[in-house]
Amino acid sequence: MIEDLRDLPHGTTVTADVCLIGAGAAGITIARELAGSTLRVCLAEGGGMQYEYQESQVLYRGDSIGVPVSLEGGRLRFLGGTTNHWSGRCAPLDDVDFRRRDWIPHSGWPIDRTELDPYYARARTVAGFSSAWLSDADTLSYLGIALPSINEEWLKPFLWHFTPAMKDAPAWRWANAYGKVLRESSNIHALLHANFKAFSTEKDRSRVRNVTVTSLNGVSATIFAKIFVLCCGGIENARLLLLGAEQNAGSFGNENDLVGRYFMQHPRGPAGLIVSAERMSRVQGQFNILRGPDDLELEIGLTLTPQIQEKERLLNCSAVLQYQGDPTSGVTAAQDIWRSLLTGRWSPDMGEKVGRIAGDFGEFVHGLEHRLSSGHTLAREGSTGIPSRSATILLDLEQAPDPDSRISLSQDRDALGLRRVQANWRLSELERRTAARFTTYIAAEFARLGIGRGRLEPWLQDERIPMTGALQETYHYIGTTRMADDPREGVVDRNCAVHGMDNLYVAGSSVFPTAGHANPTLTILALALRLADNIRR
Amino acid sequence: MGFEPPRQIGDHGAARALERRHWLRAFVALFGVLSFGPPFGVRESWSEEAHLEKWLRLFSVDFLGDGAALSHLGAIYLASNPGERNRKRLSRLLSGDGTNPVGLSLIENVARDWLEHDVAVVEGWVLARTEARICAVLHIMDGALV
Repeated sequence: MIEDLRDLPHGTTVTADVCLIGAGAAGITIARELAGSTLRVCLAEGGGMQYEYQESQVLYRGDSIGVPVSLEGGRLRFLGGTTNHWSGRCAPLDDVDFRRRDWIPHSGWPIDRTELDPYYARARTVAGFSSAWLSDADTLSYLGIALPSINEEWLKPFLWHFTPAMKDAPAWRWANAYGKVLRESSNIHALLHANFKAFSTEKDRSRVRNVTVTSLNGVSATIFAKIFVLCCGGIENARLLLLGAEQNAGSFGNENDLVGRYFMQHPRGPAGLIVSAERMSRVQGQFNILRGPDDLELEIGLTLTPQIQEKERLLNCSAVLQYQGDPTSGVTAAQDIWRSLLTGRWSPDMGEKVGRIAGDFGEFVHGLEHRLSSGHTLAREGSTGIPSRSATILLDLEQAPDPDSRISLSQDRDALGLRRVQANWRLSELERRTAARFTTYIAAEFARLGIGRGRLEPWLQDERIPMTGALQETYHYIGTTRMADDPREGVVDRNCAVHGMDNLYVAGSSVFPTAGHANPTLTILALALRLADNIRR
Repeated sequence: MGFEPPRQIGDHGAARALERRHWLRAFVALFGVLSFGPPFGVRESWSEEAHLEKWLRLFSVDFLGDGAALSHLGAIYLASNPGERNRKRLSRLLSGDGTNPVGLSLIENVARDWLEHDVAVVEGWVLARTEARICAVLHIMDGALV
């Protein structure tokens, strides 16, 4: 059942076995897993069924005092949460991401990749994949791609899968995909416009007794449950724990002042340029977004091998190539002609453009086929399918966990009277060094293979150039309630239970101790499925 | 412009034998081989001279610049590698034991640099160490250093 708190009587009491706070990727996944069980589940969502700025989104306003963080734009506060602007790009974390790496302080998960592998398999289904993924080798074989013989001691190809469901976006959103389950399951009670207001605990603060939720029009409800799970995303999970500790004079995992610290993202930015005198058609057909088995969209890029990460004491990272279309190609000539036909404006150089198509016919046919099969129209902007002589190396970087990169509470208060969030996101020189070395390896290998020559961006040549001009946030908010067996090192334990609390759990990327380079959604889902299994037991 | 493989040099007077003209051509040959040839194989002959010239024009002028630009890269390389700021030492580093023709030796050295990841980043360009040293020699031959 889905209800709107605004339609309920003020002072309503809800009793459940499990209270999930937040209906994004993690919250909906856990609710979906518990649907049809004997457990009564209350799913409290601060937003409604769609984006509403004044009614909900405005509550995400906050202060960003470090590297800029889009506190309002990076998160979405309605059913489905931030999946509502998810690109559908999926990959699991690498083995190395789970390891304690002595060159990266505060690295290491208390679990390893094998612990998550069975959940990754299930997570793919939740994410909208209808079939199992082939191995990378089988995928490349299916695509008929023989990648350049890159030195595998240094670099290795990396494949991302795009969930096919996102092809139908915005029609396919999590609220649409899983709304029916929430609506029709007799043991699920979803409450919309139910914003967190306060935690109440037992006297010794070891158990949450209830949570008060309220709508912006003043209707409040109290939810009693045996188990509470925060599923509000990497920033809001920390904020709610900090508010809980403040409201109850302690605990909520913050005995060691760790809640909100180690705030990370995947900084993304251009790191270099590959240029070639010749068109890079072969590479363009390999390191790109391609159509794979079962019509899946795939992206092939590169990562640094774990051996090189260890040898050079670097972070994990990945790169994709973004090609600049050759303006002299037959495809661009065809684009111009097609646009002229659509607009009825005939330019005098049409003959020259037809000549360009004829003179570039082989590349024209190949490029057009690639462009159209990738779902691009001929008229649309963008370089897909257009032969290229240069490509930008675009990086996604892991960050070194930094306790001073943190989410805390601001002195400002929101419409509910709660302290807003303050983000102090920090980058470190290890990110810059990793980007420089990784890009150098790519450029050197591409030179060796005769693909083209590489040049690093200025920010990788001069440490005086601020990284903030080159790197952007990716809205992947990670690490603020990190997982560790030792309460002195983390906020939650290996089962995502808040240290020092008997019945409070955290789901989402806030529990990742390190971030790897991969988009976090698949790992969020895997951990949510694992937590759901534990709750069911 | 025709292309002649750099002449073989003996044990003595190697540095003097390396005329600037040959360095330029050697540099072109290196980039040309890397661009058009089998990934890092050594050419049996210089049968693709036209390709090399075309590549010189496009790559060298459009992306790296002309001889003066390469000399500039050499100056920057030497600034961060002052231990190599010596024409004789550089020539020794580049010409090896003199048993191979210079061009062949340089090509082999560049191939080995890539395989061993012995690279230099000069003004952002990722160069094989040997390429960077060739630029350095060009700079020295410009008269800035002896």
